[in-house]
Amino acid sequence: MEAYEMAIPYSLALVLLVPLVSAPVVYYLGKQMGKKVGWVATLPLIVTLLLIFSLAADVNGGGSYSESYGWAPEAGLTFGLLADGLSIWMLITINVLCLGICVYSTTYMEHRFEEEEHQTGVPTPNSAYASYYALYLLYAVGMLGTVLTTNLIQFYLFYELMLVPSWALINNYGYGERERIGMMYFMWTHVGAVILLAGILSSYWITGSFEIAALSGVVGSPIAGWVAFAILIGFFTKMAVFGIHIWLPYAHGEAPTPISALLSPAMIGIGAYAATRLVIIPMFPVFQTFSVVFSFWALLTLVYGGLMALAQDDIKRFLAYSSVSQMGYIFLGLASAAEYGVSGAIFHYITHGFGKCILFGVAGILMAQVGTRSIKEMGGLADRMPWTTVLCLLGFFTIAGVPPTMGFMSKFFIFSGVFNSALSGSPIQLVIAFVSIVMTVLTVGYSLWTVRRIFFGPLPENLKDVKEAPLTMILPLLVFALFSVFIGIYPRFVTDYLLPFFANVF
Amino acid sequence: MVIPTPLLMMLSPIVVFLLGFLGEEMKIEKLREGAAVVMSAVSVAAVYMLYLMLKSTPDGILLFHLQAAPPLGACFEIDMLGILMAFSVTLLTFFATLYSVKYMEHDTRLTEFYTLLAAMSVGMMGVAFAGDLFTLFVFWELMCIASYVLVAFRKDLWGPIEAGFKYFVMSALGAAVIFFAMAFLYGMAGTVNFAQLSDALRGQPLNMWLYMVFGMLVVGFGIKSAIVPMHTWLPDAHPEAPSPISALLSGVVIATGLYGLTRVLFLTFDPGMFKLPIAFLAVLTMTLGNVMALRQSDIKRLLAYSSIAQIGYMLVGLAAGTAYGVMGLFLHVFNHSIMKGMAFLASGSIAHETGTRDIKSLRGVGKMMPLTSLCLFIALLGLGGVPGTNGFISKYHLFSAAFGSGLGWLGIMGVLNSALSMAYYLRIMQVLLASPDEGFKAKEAPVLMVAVTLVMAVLIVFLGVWPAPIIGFATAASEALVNGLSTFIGAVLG
Repeated sequence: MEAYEMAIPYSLALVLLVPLVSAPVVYYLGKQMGKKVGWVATLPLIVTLLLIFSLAADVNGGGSYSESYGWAPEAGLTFGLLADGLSIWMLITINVLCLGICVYSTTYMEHRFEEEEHQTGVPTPNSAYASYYALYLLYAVGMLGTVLTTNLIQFYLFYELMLVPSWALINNYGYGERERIGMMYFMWTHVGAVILLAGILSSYWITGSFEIAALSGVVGSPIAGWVAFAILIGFFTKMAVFGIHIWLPYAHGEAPTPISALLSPAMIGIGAYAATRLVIIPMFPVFQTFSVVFSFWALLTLVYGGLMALAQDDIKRFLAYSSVSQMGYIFLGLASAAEYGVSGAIFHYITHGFGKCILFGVAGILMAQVGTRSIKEMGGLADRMPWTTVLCLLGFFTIAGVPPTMGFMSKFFIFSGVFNSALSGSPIQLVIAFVSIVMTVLTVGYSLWTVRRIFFGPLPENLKDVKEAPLTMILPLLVFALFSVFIGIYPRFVTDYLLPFFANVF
Repeated sequence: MVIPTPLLMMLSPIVVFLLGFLGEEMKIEKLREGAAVVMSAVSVAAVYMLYLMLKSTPDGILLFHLQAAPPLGACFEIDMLGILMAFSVTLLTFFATLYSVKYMEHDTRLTEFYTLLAAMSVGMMGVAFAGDLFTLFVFWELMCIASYVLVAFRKDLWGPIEAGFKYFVMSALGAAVIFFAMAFLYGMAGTVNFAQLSDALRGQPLNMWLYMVFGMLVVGFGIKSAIVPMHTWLPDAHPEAPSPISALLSGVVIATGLYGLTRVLFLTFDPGMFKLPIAFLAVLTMTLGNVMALRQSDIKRLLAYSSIAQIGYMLVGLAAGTAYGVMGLFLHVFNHSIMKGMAFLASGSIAHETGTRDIKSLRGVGKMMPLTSLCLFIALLGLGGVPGTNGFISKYHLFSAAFGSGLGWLGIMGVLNSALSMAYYLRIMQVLLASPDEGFKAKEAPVLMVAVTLVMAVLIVFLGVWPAPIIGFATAASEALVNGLSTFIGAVLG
């Protein structure tokens, strides 16, 4: 068994290099073969997924694996890559989502371009497909690299590498006022990122090193609180917590749907991972002092996101606000500063990743098959699209935490942590804990209400001819849904990585 | 001491002129272009030879006296910092000259053009190598006079004439102020030689006259390097000049002003004295540059304002006052010379093909000129400080230096400004990516122009991903200036 698992010799560098090198190849091939190049773009992602799986077998039970390369030692830069219990499920989630959505894109983008051809009358050039998939791969590299990195400057490099291709994808292939919204997306997260950079640079002068591991040296410095706060603000902008969430509903609403299905589930949650890796673990005493304030902020985020979701008619904006709300739960788990809370937050990242990806996928199906984003104009579609209905339900069950999906397990973890620290903390924390658990009703509420409005009730006359979506769109989402149920029943596939890791930390 | 062979490349304007003249008279096609390109390549090689010579000296300085020993004769004192500046200058001149061969093809008076181009480059090199204020001033004027004519090179248009005249008046005023400051310094120290000057003045108690000299130096050099509020000539002059000249003006000429300021300030004053005023000017310069750039509709004018902002970032390194800060400064000078030089060349190509510099009417250029647009894209990302480009490497050193020298607020202003600057770079990128308006046609620029910008784009990414060599170079340069001051003085006086 052991020998079999070691059969694929892995290298973390390959996880980044394979898609990176493939991007120009895909671009070149795309110019020749047009829309079929989407299938070529899945190949590097399959390779990286195999690498990550074989890696996962080895870091089970609190292990870790790292690689280090010289980069520019004069400037304090090393190029280090690390996979451990914290990051392995992040990698798997990102990679599986990227792969599934890449398959989904092949049909969706064809539909998107046909729609545009219809409007403008100009045939879509092959280069449109070519650059879409090339940027897509670069975006994947950015996300995987952010999770793997061990050096702060290298971290910033990948953090921005996530931003530039995703901006270009929104700017080129989005809907509506895509240029203005792309700019808005870029500027919000870029300003967040440079505040993060300010935190990183000031930490350098305290610790004398750009290694993430060295950040623990900041604790005890008179400006430790400021450094931690600056770094966190960078991540909170990405996570879109209340107050700095303005960009999110626009960006997620108007991005091309496959990209929304990566932005929201895969990318913004990386902020939570990074907050754990860069602040909570190395600077735990500093983070603990923020606990109460952040819990309140998280509560505000999840309630605000939930209420705004209820008020939406555009299905993509609805899902975007629901993401704000779910980020509130993740934030709440982090803010609890307890073993179960933080591991629950990472667990919920996985849950939200798969759940929201299914839902954005469903939104894309509806846009392609029904031709509208307005929830009001839909209804009674369950008969017409049974598979989509099932997928939508499972997606909502996952994010709402209905057993047996994994959402139940992750929310259970989060609230264990929240109550754990609330019971030993101040009465305010207890109040926050109670209110937030009551507020989970909101998620269930907006979920089921939306399902009812779209899929049940009378079918409008003009939607009589709606057909079920093609297999290439259904199948990836179905895999995500089955996966969600599977982990919901066997959560130890995830917790066996997370819990031993956090047991060593706190 | 005899003049070493590599320094003979300072005669290149004469060679270019003679061969160009010959080519015109004898009707030998492309002789002057060939001569100009070859001479600019020879200059790069010569700087490299000087670098090797410098490496082999024990105390890290090369001394050449033209007539007598200081304080009388003019002299060159070449250290690593001078080499780094000269390297930036010659490299960018080489690219610009090569680009001009195609770009300036249809202009007349090209012999003058290439001669002045070479003269400007030699002027900047002379400033970088100068060992006393007198030599510095002579080469400074050579650079200035050549650049006045080049800005107004297309003398049949009013725009360049007006911009050139404005530039001439302000820059001449700046030169006069520098000259005045030199007179004061001579009066106080009895010498203009750098080493002797530093020996006499550094560490002396500050008096009113020294403050006055400081003010005059900042104003004089500041006009050339467009430090706000002495920047007003730049947004007119840089866009109106022919694109290769804009590239040189924005890429290295303004940086030469900064080089002069840094050199003289470090020789004469302790960093503690000039930290705060320079930090203040840095914030003013970058903020105004960025805010004004947001409002521009002319792509070259936008880039000109962006240069002002970049000068602001460079001043952060000077304000830090440490060797690390100066390292960041000259790293950024080098990186900026490539990025901004290329941005001007690429936008020059676009203006050349489309006939307009108005950003709004350039929608969809990316589809018609994919390679040039890709290059411009990379340059803009670099200028915005996106990681993976050399612009990020030098910016993060600059801001890090600010945090390290206790000027945290300056670092924060820097990073916020840098984020703000992305807004106008993104605007250009959006225009490049947009789908074209109907009836808008353009074709890719000529091969030679595209090739030059592509090579520079590769350099930007290469130095951004593997910055180790250039960081090592810049570190040696800053050590030579800040920590090597005593060896510098010892080598000259001893």
